Amino acid sequence: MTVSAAAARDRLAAMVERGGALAWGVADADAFDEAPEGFRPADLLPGARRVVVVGGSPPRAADWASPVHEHLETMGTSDRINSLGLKTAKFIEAEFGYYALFVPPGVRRGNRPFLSVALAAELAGCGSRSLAGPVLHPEYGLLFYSAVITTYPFPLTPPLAEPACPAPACVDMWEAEGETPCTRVCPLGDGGCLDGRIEDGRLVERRYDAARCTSRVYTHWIPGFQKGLELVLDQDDPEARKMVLYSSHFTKTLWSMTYAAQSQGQCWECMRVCPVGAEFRDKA
Amino acid sequence: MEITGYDFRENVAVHVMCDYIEREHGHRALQAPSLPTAGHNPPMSMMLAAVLAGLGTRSLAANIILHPRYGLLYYAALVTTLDLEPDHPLEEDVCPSKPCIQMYEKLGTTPCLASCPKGEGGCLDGALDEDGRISYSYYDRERCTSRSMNFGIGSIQKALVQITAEGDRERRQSMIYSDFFTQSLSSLSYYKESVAQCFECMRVCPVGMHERRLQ
Ligand code: SF4
Ligand code: SF4
Ligand code: SF4
Ligand code: SF4
Repeated sequence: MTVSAAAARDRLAAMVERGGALAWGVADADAFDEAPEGFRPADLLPGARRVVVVGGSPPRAADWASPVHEHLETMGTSDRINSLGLKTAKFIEAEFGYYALFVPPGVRRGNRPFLSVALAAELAGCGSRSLAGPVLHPEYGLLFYSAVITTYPFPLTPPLAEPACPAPACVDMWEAEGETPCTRVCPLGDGGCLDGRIEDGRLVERRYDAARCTSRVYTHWIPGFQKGLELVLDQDDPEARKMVLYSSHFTKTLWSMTYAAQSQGQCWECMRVCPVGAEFRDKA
Repeated sequence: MEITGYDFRENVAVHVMCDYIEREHGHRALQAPSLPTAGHNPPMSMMLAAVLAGLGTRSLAANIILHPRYGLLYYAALVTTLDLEPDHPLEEDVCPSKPCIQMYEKLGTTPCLASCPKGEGGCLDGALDEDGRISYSYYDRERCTSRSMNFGIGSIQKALVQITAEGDRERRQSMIYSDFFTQSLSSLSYYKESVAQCFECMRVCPVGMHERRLQ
């Protein structure tokens, strides 16, 4: 079936928006220079030309309002965007007869994702990287993303001309106080993970202690399981092993790995205070 | 291929169908359990159900049921008290396809058997009779599991055997945080259903080839 690239783009738009995407875009598969070799689109799909990115399913306003801190850490919503990614891949193959490969979530060697979906989202103009880490959509702020690599030459959507971070309010705060809402809530110099510098209203430096963020917040998921297993095997006493295995921490870890699955978000305290998308995190 | 499976989507479809039968027709409908409960055996064989319902026939490649048009498909089933008109098994074998019979006559093998031969560390063996029908087929499931299901429950079990047998604390720690174990856990968590086989035997299969060939 032959359709113009523009018509194909419109059909794709209708499909992903119906499927719940709040943002979507198309990146050039050759633009992933900053990704290491072996982790670029053509490494996953020979002949790759585009990467279609869909974004959405952020935590709902009620998730942000919950006083139970484990809630955000365990009740993730990113699986919904992954299922839309899968559907998008199927749609492209069935409708246009071109290869479309859903980028699996999860990691390959070196704990590295198969393709950086954050980079794909930036290149596709869905958002820009923030001081706090996540790619921020200019309107919605934090979104989850899923990517599909395809040989179909959809028209490209350019990266954002203006970055979403820092927000004007953060620039003002930086100028007055030398920090931003996210660096204040989780400061690198004070047991936290974030630091950075803003010059002329632009983010020019960012420091993020990923290892600390992982150990502070990914307490229930794969790292939690590995930590628990290590602890179990370090015990010589069978009773002590049993105690760790049946502990609430280990039990929660198993639940989160299987049922809650990919929903192991961060604590997102840095996002809770971010002005970008703040109105969507608040409801009556 | 080993980590991006789609099979659970068929299970979702079955749930929708079960709801439909119970709500609209007032008959019982249950999703046929498809995960293994003893060894590798599920309580009910989806493969047999697919063959009896006329969706495909058993192939030389790991007994996979090949659909005449699409080749490899995943199947899910529901069992119901609704008196639906039964379909019938296909009259013609999907496997071996014509090119495979020709190849067998010339070379004594087929594309799938040649891609994973039992005699050379692979999992498959088979023979065709003079009518071009399968007269013997062999599939080493244990070997296929260990060769190709590198991400998932099997690999977690494999890694745990090694980790728990390791007496040295530091070596044990490096095994626990290794790429292999992390990936295996990630597959349990992220991919879930998607811990498929390597499917090299399906990659070369002519059945459904045109459906897999895109631009
Ligand atoms: S997710 Fe939590 S621990 Fe990680 S950077 Fe944000 S506030 Fe800090
Ligand atoms: S609070 Fe949000 S917009 Fe402000 S600097 Fe941090 S990430 Fe950027
Ligand atoms: S899935 Fe891979 S290992 Fe298993 S029979 Fe097919 S080719 Fe052989
Ligand atoms: S390649 Fe396919 S059709 Fe041919 S013998 Fe093997 S499974 Fe059967």
